[in-house]
Amino acid sequence: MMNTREVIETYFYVVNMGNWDKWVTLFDDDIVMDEQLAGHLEGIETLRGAVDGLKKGYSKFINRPLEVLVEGEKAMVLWHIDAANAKGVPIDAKGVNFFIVRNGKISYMANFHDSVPFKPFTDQNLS
Amino acid sequence: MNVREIIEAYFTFLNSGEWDKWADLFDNNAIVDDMSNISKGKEAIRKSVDTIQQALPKFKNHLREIVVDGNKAMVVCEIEATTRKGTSLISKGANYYEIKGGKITYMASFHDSAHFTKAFQ
Repeated sequence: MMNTREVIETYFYVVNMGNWDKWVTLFDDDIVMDEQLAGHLEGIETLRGAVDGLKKGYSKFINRPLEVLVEGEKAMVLWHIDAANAKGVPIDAKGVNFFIVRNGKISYMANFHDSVPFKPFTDQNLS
Repeated sequence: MNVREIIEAYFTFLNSGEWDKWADLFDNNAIVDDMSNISKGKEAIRKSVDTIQQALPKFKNHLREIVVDGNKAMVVCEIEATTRKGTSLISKGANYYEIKGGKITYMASFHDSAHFTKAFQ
Protein backbone atom coordinates (compact mmCIF):
# COMPACT_ATOMS: atom_id res chain seq x y z
CA MET A 1 0.00 0.00 0.00
CA MET A 2 1.40 3.42 -0.95
CA ASN A 3 2.01 5.96 1.79
CA THR A 4 0.71 9.54 1.60
CA ARG A 5 3.76 10.94 -0.21
CA GLU A 6 3.83 8.06 -2.71
CA VAL A 7 0.13 8.57 -3.50
CA ILE A 8 0.68 12.28 -4.09
CA GLU A 9 3.78 11.70 -6.23
CA THR A 10 1.83 9.15 -8.28
CA TYR A 11 -1.05 11.64 -8.62
CA PHE A 12 1.21 14.18 -10.34
CA TYR A 13 3.07 11.52 -12.34
CA VAL A 14 -0.10 10.12 -13.94
CA VAL A 15 -1.61 13.60 -14.47
CA ASN A 16 1.49 14.65 -16.37
CA MET A 17 1.38 11.42 -18.39
CA GLY A 18 -2.17 12.40 -19.36
CA ASN A 19 -3.32 9.09 -17.89
CA TRP A 20 -6.66 10.26 -16.47
CA ASP A 21 -8.00 6.68 -16.24
CA LYS A 22 -5.11 5.74 -13.91
CA TRP A 23 -5.65 9.05 -12.06
CA VAL A 24 -9.18 7.98 -11.09
CA THR A 25 -7.85 4.76 -9.48
CA LEU A 26 -5.93 6.83 -6.90
CA PHE A 27 -9.20 7.93 -5.28
CA ASP A 28 -11.36 6.12 -2.73
CA ASP A 29 -14.79 4.95 -3.93
CA ASP A 30 -16.35 7.47 -1.53
CA ILE A 31 -14.10 10.36 -2.57
CA VAL A 32 -15.26 13.85 -1.65
CA MET A 33 -13.77 16.64 -3.72
CA ASP A 34 -14.12 20.41 -3.57
CA GLU A 35 -12.83 21.46 -6.96
CA GLN A 36 -12.39 25.18 -7.60
CA LEU A 37 -13.93 25.03 -11.08
CA ALA A 38 -16.28 22.01 -10.88
CA GLY A 39 -17.58 22.53 -7.33
CA HIS A 40 -18.45 19.84 -4.79
CA LEU A 41 -18.19 16.26 -6.11
CA GLU A 42 -18.91 13.00 -4.31
CA GLY A 43 -18.21 9.41 -5.33
CA ILE A 44 -15.84 7.74 -7.75
CA GLU A 45 -18.46 7.42 -10.50
CA THR A 46 -19.02 11.20 -10.47
CA LEU A 47 -15.26 11.68 -10.77
CA ARG A 48 -15.01 9.10 -13.54
CA GLY A 49 -17.74 10.99 -15.38
CA ALA A 50 -15.67 14.19 -15.20
CA VAL A 51 -12.65 12.58 -16.86
CA ASP A 52 -14.18 12.81 -20.34
CA GLY A 53 -14.44 16.59 -19.93
CA LEU A 54 -10.78 16.78 -18.93
CA LYS A 55 -9.70 14.67 -21.91
CA LYS A 56 -11.72 16.76 -24.37
CA GLY A 57 -11.19 20.13 -22.73
CA TYR A 58 -7.41 20.20 -22.52
CA SER A 59 -5.08 19.69 -25.49
CA LYS A 60 -2.17 20.08 -23.05
CA PHE A 61 -2.07 19.70 -19.27
CA ILE A 62 1.16 19.83 -17.28
CA ASN A 63 0.86 20.23 -13.50
CA ARG A 64 4.28 20.60 -11.89
CA PRO A 65 4.46 20.18 -8.10
CA LEU A 66 6.68 22.99 -6.78
CA GLU A 67 6.38 22.05 -3.10
CA VAL A 68 5.00 18.85 -1.56
CA LEU A 69 4.30 18.98 2.18
CA VAL A 70 3.19 15.81 3.96
CA GLU A 71 2.09 15.37 7.57
CA GLY A 72 0.56 11.99 8.39
CA GLU A 73 -2.54 11.39 6.27
CA LYS A 74 -2.64 15.00 5.04
CA ALA A 75 -0.68 16.59 2.22
CA MET A 76 -0.63 19.96 0.53
CA VAL A 77 1.00 20.74 -2.79
CA LEU A 78 1.94 24.07 -4.34
CA TRP A 79 1.72 23.60 -8.11
CA HIS A 80 2.15 25.34 -11.45
CA ILE A 81 -0.18 24.40 -14.29
CA ASP A 82 0.96 24.92 -17.87
CA ALA A 83 -1.99 23.88 -20.03
CA ALA A 84 -4.02 24.69 -23.13
CA ASN A 85 -7.71 24.35 -23.92
CA ALA A 86 -9.02 22.18 -26.77
CA LYS A 87 -8.12 24.82 -29.35
CA GLY A 88 -4.66 25.42 -27.91
CA VAL A 89 -5.34 28.66 -26.00
CA PRO A 90 -2.72 28.70 -23.20
CA ILE A 91 -3.51 28.49 -19.48
CA ASP A 92 -0.89 29.39 -16.88
CA ALA A 93 -1.69 29.30 -13.16
CA LYS A 94 -0.32 28.56 -9.72
CA GLY A 95 -2.35 27.09 -6.90
CA VAL A 96 -2.59 24.60 -4.08
CA ASN A 97 -4.11 21.15 -3.58
CA PHE A 98 -5.08 19.75 -0.18
CA PHE A 99 -5.33 15.96 0.17
CA ILE A 100 -6.40 13.48 2.82
CA VAL A 101 -5.05 9.99 2.09
CA ARG A 102 -6.45 6.96 3.92
CA ASN A 103 -5.62 3.29 3.27
CA GLY A 104 -3.54 4.23 0.23
CA LYS A 105 -6.37 6.15 -1.47
CA ILE A 106 -7.26 9.83 -1.69
CA SER A 107 -10.44 10.20 0.38
CA TYR A 108 -10.67 14.02 0.17
CA MET A 109 -9.19 16.61 -2.14
CA ALA A 110 -9.67 20.34 -2.53
CA ASN A 111 -7.87 22.82 -4.72
CA PHE A 112 -7.48 26.56 -4.45
CA HIS A 113 -6.52 28.92 -7.26
CA ASP A 114 -7.71 31.88 -9.27
CA SER A 115 -10.40 30.82 -11.75
CA VAL A 116 -9.61 33.66 -14.19
CA PRO A 117 -6.58 32.00 -15.86
CA PHE A 118 -8.80 28.97 -16.57
CA LYS A 119 -11.38 30.91 -18.61
CA PRO A 120 -10.06 29.41 -21.90
CA PHE A 121 -11.09 26.01 -20.43
CA THR A 122 -14.31 26.96 -18.65
CA ASP A 123 -15.66 29.25 -21.40
CA GLN A 124 -15.04 26.95 -24.37
CA ASN A 125 -17.85 25.22 -26.25
CA LEU A 126 -16.97 21.55 -26.73
CA SER A 127 -20.24 20.47 -28.35
CA MET B 1 8.06 29.28 18.52
CA ASN B 2 8.11 26.27 16.22
CA VAL B 3 6.64 26.35 12.70
CA ARG B 4 3.14 25.27 13.77
CA GLU B 5 3.07 27.81 16.63
CA ILE B 6 4.11 30.60 14.24
CA ILE B 7 1.33 29.74 11.79
CA GLU B 8 -1.26 29.50 14.57
CA ALA B 9 -0.05 32.86 15.93
CA TYR B 10 -0.37 34.33 12.41
CA PHE B 11 -4.11 33.59 12.45
CA THR B 12 -4.61 34.50 16.11
CA PHE B 13 -3.07 37.97 15.67
CA LEU B 14 -4.77 38.47 12.30
CA ASN B 15 -8.20 37.82 13.82
CA SER B 16 -7.59 39.78 17.02
CA GLY B 17 -6.33 42.79 15.09
CA GLU B 18 -2.96 42.72 16.88
CA TRP B 19 -1.22 43.96 13.76
CA ASP B 20 2.18 44.80 15.28
CA LYS B 21 2.43 41.32 16.79
CA TRP B 22 1.28 39.92 13.44
CA ALA B 23 3.94 41.87 11.55
CA ASP B 24 6.62 40.75 14.03
CA LEU B 25 6.07 37.17 12.86
CA PHE B 26 7.75 38.17 9.57
CA ASP B 27 11.46 38.43 8.87
CA ASN B 28 12.71 41.97 8.10
CA ASN B 29 13.31 40.88 4.50
CA ALA B 30 10.22 38.70 4.11
CA ILE B 31 8.33 38.55 0.82
CA VAL B 32 4.56 38.16 0.69
CA ASP B 33 2.82 37.24 -2.57
CA ASP B 34 -0.85 37.90 -1.82
CA MET B 35 -2.69 36.85 -4.98
CA SER B 36 0.15 38.33 -7.07
CA ASN B 37 0.32 41.55 -5.00
CA ILE B 38 3.92 41.49 -3.80
CA SER B 39 5.08 43.11 -0.54
CA LYS B 40 8.80 43.11 0.21
CA GLY B 41 10.07 43.68 3.76
CA LYS B 42 8.32 43.76 7.13
CA GLU B 43 7.40 47.45 6.88
CA ALA B 44 5.68 46.97 3.51
CA ILE B 45 3.88 43.91 4.85
CA ARG B 46 2.65 45.87 7.90
CA LYS B 47 1.41 48.68 5.61
CA SER B 48 -0.45 46.20 3.41
CA VAL B 49 -2.82 45.67 6.35
CA ASP B 50 -4.02 49.27 5.98
CA THR B 51 -5.17 48.50 2.43
CA ILE B 52 -7.09 45.45 3.63
CA GLN B 53 -8.69 47.38 6.49
CA GLN B 54 -9.78 50.20 4.20
CA ALA B 55 -11.37 47.83 1.71
CA LEU B 56 -12.71 45.28 4.20
CA PRO B 57 -13.55 46.89 7.57
CA LYS B 58 -14.77 43.52 8.86
CA PHE B 59 -12.15 40.88 8.16
CA LYS B 60 -11.54 37.44 9.63
CA ASN B 61 -9.38 34.65 8.23
CA HIS B 62 -10.17 31.27 9.78
CA LEU B 63 -7.56 28.50 9.87
CA ARG B 64 -9.24 25.30 8.61
CA GLU B 65 -6.32 22.89 7.96
CA ILE B 66 -2.59 22.99 8.52
CA VAL B 67 0.21 20.80 7.15
CA VAL B 68 3.73 21.31 8.52
CA ASP B 69 6.73 19.64 6.89
CA GLY B 70 10.18 20.75 8.09
CA ASN B 71 10.52 24.53 7.87
CA LYS B 72 7.55 24.86 5.50
CA ALA B 73 3.82 24.95 6.11
CA MET B 74 0.64 25.22 4.11
CA VAL B 75 -2.85 25.97 5.32
CA VAL B 76 -6.42 25.90 4.11
CA CYS B 77 -8.10 29.07 5.34
CA GLU B 78 -11.41 30.84 4.91
CA ILE B 79 -11.79 34.60 4.64
CA GLU B 80 -15.02 36.00 6.05
CA ALA B 81 -15.27 39.73 5.43
CA THR B 82 -17.57 42.63 4.69
CA THR B 83 -16.87 45.48 2.28
CA ARG B 84 -17.47 49.17 3.10
CA LYS B 85 -20.77 48.88 1.21
CA GLY B 86 -21.81 45.97 3.44
CA THR B 87 -21.36 43.21 0.86
CA SER B 88 -20.35 39.86 2.35
CA LEU B 89 -17.23 38.15 1.07
CA ILE B 90 -16.42 34.51 1.77
CA SER B 91 -13.41 32.92 0.13
CA LYS B 92 -11.78 29.61 0.95
CA GLY B 93 -8.15 29.50 -0.09
CA ALA B 94 -4.66 28.37 0.81
CA ASN B 95 -1.44 29.91 2.08
CA TYR B 96 2.13 28.65 1.69
CA TYR B 97 4.83 29.63 4.24
CA GLU B 98 8.61 29.31 4.56
CA ILE B 99 10.06 29.80 8.06
CA LYS B 100 13.69 30.50 8.94
CA GLY B 101 15.10 31.52 12.32
CA GLY B 102 11.65 31.61 13.88
CA LYS B 103 10.31 34.12 11.33
CA ILE B 104 8.20 33.90 8.17
CA THR B 105 10.55 34.61 5.26
CA TYR B 106 8.12 33.89 2.43
CA MET B 107 4.36 33.59 2.14
CA ALA B 108 2.05 33.15 -0.83
CA SER B 109 -1.75 33.28 -0.77
CA PHE B 110 -4.13 31.63 -3.25
CA HIS B 111 -7.80 32.56 -3.60
CA ASP B 112 -10.22 32.89 -6.49
CA SER B 113 -10.16 36.58 -7.45
CA ALA B 114 -13.72 36.15 -8.78
CA HIS B 115 -15.00 36.16 -5.18
CA PHE B 116 -13.35 39.53 -4.55
CA THR B 117 -14.42 41.01 -7.90
CA LYS B 118 -18.04 40.04 -7.18
CA ALA B 119 -17.94 41.52 -3.66
CA PHE B 120 -16.64 44.88 -4.90
CA GLN B 121 -19.02 45.24 -7.89
